[in-house]
Amino acid sequence: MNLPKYVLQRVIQTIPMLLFVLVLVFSLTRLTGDPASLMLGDAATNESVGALRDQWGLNDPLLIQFWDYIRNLLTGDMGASLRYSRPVADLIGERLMASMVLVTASVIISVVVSVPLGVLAARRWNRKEDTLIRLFVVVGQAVPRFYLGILLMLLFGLRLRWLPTSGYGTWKHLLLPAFTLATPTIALLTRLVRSSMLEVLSADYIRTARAKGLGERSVVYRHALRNALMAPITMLAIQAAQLVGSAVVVEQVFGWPGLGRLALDAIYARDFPLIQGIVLILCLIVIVTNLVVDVSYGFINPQARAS
Amino acid sequence: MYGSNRVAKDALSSATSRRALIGASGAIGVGAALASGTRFAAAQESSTLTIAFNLDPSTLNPMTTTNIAEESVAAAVLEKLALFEAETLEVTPWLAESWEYIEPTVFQIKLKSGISFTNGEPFDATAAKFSLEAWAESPTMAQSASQIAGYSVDIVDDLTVTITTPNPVPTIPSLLGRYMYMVPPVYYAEVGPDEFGLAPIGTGPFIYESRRAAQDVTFVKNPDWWKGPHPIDTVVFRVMPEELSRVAALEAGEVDIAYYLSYSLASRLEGVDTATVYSVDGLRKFLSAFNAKMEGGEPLLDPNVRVALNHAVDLDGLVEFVFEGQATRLEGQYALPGEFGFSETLSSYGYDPDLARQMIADAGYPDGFSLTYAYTIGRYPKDKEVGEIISTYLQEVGIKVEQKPLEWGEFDKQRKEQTLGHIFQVGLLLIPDLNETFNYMAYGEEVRGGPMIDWNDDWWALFEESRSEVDPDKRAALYHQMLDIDHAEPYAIYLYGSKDFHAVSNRVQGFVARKDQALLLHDISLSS
Repeated sequence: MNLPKYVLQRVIQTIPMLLFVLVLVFSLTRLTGDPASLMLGDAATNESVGALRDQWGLNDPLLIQFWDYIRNLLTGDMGASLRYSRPVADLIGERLMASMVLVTASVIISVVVSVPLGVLAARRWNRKEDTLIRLFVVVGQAVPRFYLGILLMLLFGLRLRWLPTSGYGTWKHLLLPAFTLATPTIALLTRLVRSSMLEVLSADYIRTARAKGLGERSVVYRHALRNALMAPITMLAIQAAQLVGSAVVVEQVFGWPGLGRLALDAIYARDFPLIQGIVLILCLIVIVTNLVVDVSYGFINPQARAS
Repeated sequence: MYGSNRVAKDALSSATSRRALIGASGAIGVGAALASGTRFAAAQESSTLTIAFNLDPSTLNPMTTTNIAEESVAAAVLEKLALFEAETLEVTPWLAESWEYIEPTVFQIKLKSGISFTNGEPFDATAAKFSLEAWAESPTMAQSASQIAGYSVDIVDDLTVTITTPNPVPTIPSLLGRYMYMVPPVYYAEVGPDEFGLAPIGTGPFIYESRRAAQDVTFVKNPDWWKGPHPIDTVVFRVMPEELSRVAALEAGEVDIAYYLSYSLASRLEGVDTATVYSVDGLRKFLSAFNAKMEGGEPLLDPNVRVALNHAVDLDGLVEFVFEGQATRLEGQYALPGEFGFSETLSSYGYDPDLARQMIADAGYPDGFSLTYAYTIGRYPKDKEVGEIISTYLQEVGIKVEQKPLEWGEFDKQRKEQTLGHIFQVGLLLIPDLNETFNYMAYGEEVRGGPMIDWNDDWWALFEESRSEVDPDKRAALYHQMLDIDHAEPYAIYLYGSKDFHAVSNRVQGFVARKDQALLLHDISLSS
């Protein structure tokens, strides 16, 4: 199957998936809490809550609400946020870039750090370096991002004063949240690269390559690493999508103006249109990420492209 | 009564020891390796006040929000006719010159002269009438505005308006102090409430300049402010939802005010000599309300059982061990000290589990009874801990308690459906006038879908009388009688009032921690 046809097929497959997710989110968000009541506060009367619900169209039957939502969505209108009284698309647009910057930086850091560490651990198997890296892997996966973020903030922001404690705008603001978000992923990928490399390095064709007199650098990086990266790349794709969700905690700690915080606020306020909009965008991100990874297999391993 | 205190600080050495540095760097070596080698320049510009704020305001239009924090940001630009005094909570004129009830149903407001909005529109009777009507017609304000239902606002002259109501409304001054911001009528009508919330225009000390979503809102000095130009050139509200981040930013000198902290984090600053912690008795009061009308709640219909449950809870222990003493015990009433209507003669029931057990047995429940106790998780400071501890206290006097911890949205929904629980936690932040609290309780059928307990007829009669009594002394006397009745037939287990904490850089002068949680910049300046 050629690439354009494959991509088109995958895009078409996403439509029922998106619709299913929308139905799910639309139903689930309405199971608990009332946005009008939450906005009007403790002493709101039924009358005032009812009036606001009318204004927002929340008293219409659910099917009509859903139909209106889908109809508007098809014309590119994601609706207006109940809490912010602004178009959902505008609110998401303002935050999406910040989230993408954070997640992209985290993915880059994860790859840049984990691949050399994984390779080093495999090459120095059962030696001091391997032990230290395995220790880092365990700690990196065990420490919650929230706690790690606070530790990094207190160390680099408060004690050393090298970096701002929080905020957004420059590369200095990005470092702490990106490292915080990346650390568990670094640990996970390092472990995967290490185990994949160990497996590949003991394969026959590597022994053959060495027997042919190829240099160690060529054996490790040209022959072994390319084959060892399949599993880590799959995991990276899953992780990249998860990072958008995990970013909620990091964004909260570092005051990072991303989608995660917007989602959190929207959920607490039961801002239905905004929650639906964010979920829709997150789904698209996951789908596109998976698609990119599928396609990238072909470039890394020609066998995968053929199959 | 009111406690705003400055907590002295010890010096915090900014130098980091070599040992600590090596140790920490070793722990997080990758981050340290990539971090810049230069010390981060965190110093603030001398003419810019930066406030680390706990939320990203959904709007800067105070006509469409009842959130006091959101109002505080808007208050850099917009002003009200009156303010609550920070310490006494007395309502005093601000944009208004004076007011009086010229008849029980006619409230006359005289406005200050010579004031303009920053877009050039005059602040006069036309603007005041427009603003009052915009407030009363806002769906968000429906509950509070219902107090003046059937009102009309009339212009007497350029600087005088009257609010006429079908019945006497004694709480109009309190409504002026809490709500009723003045907006420029032409601009507001032109852009509408939502657009106004994006770029507000007012008479206040600052002018809205810009906003970056979820990051900050910036205001610049209004050179023509009617009280004279403010000494600060620029004010930035930085959005920092995580309170530890606010504290760290203050310590690092990145911000000047860390607004709204818990005691545990504010106390972290006790060793810092560059900042001062301000504490103030807040206005949020916590109760565990009875819902006797829910199925299975019959024992709570007996006032003696309700008194017994008040005896079952060790309030002093709760305040001391859960809040480290940083909360104010309610004295057997809904009102907090300073609130209009507070009774000096009432006091807490006192912790007496033996008496509680005896009273429950005498009421016909020698083996106790079962009930559901609902409380929120994460809505208020330590709400989960308080819920669990109160449940334990109740179990100790023979009540079988089914605990129901809930997220706020679900809690609110079930409360309105009246399926929440026989007792549930309430954290009320209302106008500091018992009228509002009594309204909340007496009209519980509106709020919660059904009456909560059987009300005493005398209480109802006094309540009706108080609602049309415009003489403050007489109204306070009526409230005292109502509180006496309620002490014998309590509506709730009376718990505590919260304390609020703010940390402020020592270069900030004139900061006042207000009981109403509002952050007003009027008297703040920066030392060089």
